[in-house]
This record gives sequence, structure tokens and C-alpha cells, in this order.
Amino acid sequence: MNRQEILKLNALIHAPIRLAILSVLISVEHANFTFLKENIGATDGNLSTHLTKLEDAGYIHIKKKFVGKKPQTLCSITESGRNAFMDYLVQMEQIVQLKNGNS
Amino acid sequence: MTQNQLQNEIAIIKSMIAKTKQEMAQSGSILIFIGIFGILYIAVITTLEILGIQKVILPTMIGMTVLIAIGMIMVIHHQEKQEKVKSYIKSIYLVFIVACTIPLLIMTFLFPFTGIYAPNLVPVFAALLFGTILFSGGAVYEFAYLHWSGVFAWAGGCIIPYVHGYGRGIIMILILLNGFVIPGMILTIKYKNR
Repeated sequence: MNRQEILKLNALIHAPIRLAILSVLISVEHANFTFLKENIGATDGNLSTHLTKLEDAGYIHIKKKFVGKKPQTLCSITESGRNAFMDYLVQMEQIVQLKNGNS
Repeated sequence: MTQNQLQNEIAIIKSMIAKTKQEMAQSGSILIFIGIFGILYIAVITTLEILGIQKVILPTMIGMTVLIAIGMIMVIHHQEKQEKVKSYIKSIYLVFIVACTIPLLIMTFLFPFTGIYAPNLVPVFAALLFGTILFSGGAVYEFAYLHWSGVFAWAGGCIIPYVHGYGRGIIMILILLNGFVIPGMILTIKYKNR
């Protein structure tokens, strides 16, 4: 991978909120909307927008159900999302090495 | 990407992983349930044996097992409804507990019809299986007390063959108290205070 390719990070994951979402989902079977909102610090609308983008890209799966009368939204990472996130981490590592090499 | 951006992204990832791990701390309600109803089960069956009411022992065992199984499903379902995150390790551990319990049920309820049933082996087998569940639970819950509870249960399983009468029931009750009820209560208190 050359310098230009390394520096061309996955724009979908590069956004802080989407990166935070995938960082949570990578280590769990699923997480609910409330947990994501409380820990990422996003508003309902903002979080929903980012979740939709990740779902449209096939990186996460969103399941909506009712627990009693309360709606619940559960998010889980897909295989594709997991691979994309791991690739992103590898790219970050290579950027660190590149920067250490330049310094 | 600047050095600053890189550090920010790494900080985001670390922070999210730490918060998720904190949320995944487990409540001990399932352990408490297994412990209390296990003790009740032993107490009832031992009482029936002491009273010599042999005819009702097997139906009572079957009935109580079914009720405990239904209760466990309800406890797990209730806990899952309240959880904000579900961890892989917990799902695997629940399957592991079921996998450990089924051989015990087969030995207790099917073997009497095969001619190779050895009733004296059931509490030994149960103690050894409990030890396995508890010892591995120490890794799942990251709670060293459970490792030692597992060892205690295995030791109990080795002692039971040399104990007669309702002394076996007492050993099993101690295993359940030490292995399930006490650590379950400690984990539940920690979970509520997280």
C-alpha cells in the first residue's frame, strides 16, 4: 500500500460519531439506541442519521422491536462492517508508522 | 490526517471500548436463581427421602426441574430486556451452562430406565458439573471467587462418595451457597453500583 492509498481512509468510518458507533458494536452482539446515544453524546436525530448511513453501507444491522409498549432499537455490526473497521484500524496503524518514519 | 486527528480517533476508540466494557459488567441474578432453587430442590428431595415417600420422589424431581427451567428462561428473558448491550461471551456462557445441565438431566431422568442407573453417582456428577460451570464462570464474569468456588465444588464431588445419608445434601447445599448464591449477590451489588 503506497502513501497515497494509506492516507485515503474510509470516509464513512472516518467521521467521529460513526467511528464511535462501530467501536462500540465491534465488541458486542448488539447495543441499543439509548446506550449509543448516552455514550457517544449525540442527539437522537444526529445519531439516527449516522446509523442510517452505516446501515445503507451494509456495515450495521438495525432491528426495531417493542419491549412491552416501549420501542427498542438494537444495532449490531455486520461481517462487512467488521472487516471495514479492521481495515480502518490497519490503515491507522500504517499512518502511525508512516508518521514515525517521517519524524 | 494530522497527528491531532489521529490521536483524537484513537481516543474515541479507546473511550468507547472502555464504556462498553463497563456496561457489560454482569448482574448475578442468574447465579442467585440457580443457587436458591437448587438448594430448594435438594431440600425437598432429601426431605422426601428421609420421610421414605419414595413414590413421589421422581415426579417431584421432574416437576421441580421443569419449573426451574421455566423460571430460568423467564429470568434470562427479563435480564435481556433490561440490558443495553449484549456481549458475545454471555451468550456463549449461557449455551455452555445448558450444555452442562443436559447430561445431568439425562443421567437423572433417563438412566433409571436403562438398567445402568447409579443414583449415588448423581450428586457426584452434579458437583463436578457445577464446578465446571463455576470455574469457567470466573473467566466470564472476571471474578476470581468463582474460580475458587469451582474448585470447592470439584472437591465436594470427590468427598460425596465417602458421605452417606443427608450429609450429601448438605455438601450440595454448601456448594450451591458458596458457588452461586454468594457470588451472585456480590455481582448483583457491583452491577447496581457500576
